[in-house]
Amino acid sequence: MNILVIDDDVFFQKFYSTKLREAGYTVDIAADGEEGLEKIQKGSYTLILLDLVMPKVDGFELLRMRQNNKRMLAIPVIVFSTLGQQEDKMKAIQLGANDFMDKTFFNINSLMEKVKKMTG
Amino acid sequence: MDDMSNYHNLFIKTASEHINELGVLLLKAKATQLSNEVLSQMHLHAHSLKSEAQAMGYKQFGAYVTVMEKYLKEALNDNRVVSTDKINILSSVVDEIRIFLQTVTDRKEDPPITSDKILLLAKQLDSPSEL
Repeated sequence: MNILVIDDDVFFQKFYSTKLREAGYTVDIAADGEEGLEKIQKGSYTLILLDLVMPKVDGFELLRMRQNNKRMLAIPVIVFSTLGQQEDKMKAIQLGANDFMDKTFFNINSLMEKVKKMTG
Repeated sequence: MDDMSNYHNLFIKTASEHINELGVLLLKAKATQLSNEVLSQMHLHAHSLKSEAQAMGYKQFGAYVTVMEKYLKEALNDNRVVSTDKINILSSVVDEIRIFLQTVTDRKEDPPITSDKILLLAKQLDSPSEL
């Protein structure tokens, strides 16, 4: 199962990819929405983990683009957010995000449950 | 929540980079008017620093940075002109955060930042700017 992590933060890129690889997933990283879009067009992914606040194309913009793109719509998206971003979470869900996780209380088991639910 | 102790060194490295970048951007802001581009970059660094501190369990550290992040986000959204006195406050904040990070580096624990200190910063950044 190939997961695309789109996050500009090097700390979280390394953290997520380590955890996901330990759990047996193949992981690809994109440092912003623009790079994420390129990877989605070229690659094959089962799931996208998307940060919202990023340079260039941010998470919201990418979700907007996804709404009109069949290839992207076929891939479920879990949005990462941080404490105090309730409005952002709501906005992301309205834009079609399938679920969200609090990146500051990241729990691999909780993510795995969500992944299984979406891909099973 | 996962055990984050394995990520201590990574946090110190990335947090230091965010703080250094914030310092450089504030120097730019002092030399010229604070442009939206610089403001946006500052917001991204503050946002990342806050998220990383929270993920590592440094709640007070995260809360202190959140005040700066919130101010930068509002300034950006409102197209606000950031006055010299506010830039000076932000510079002091970055200096303090650098000291807080040293505490985290040495002790691997949340720096002793009181809620009063966090509230005071929020008040300072909220107050009307000097002309």
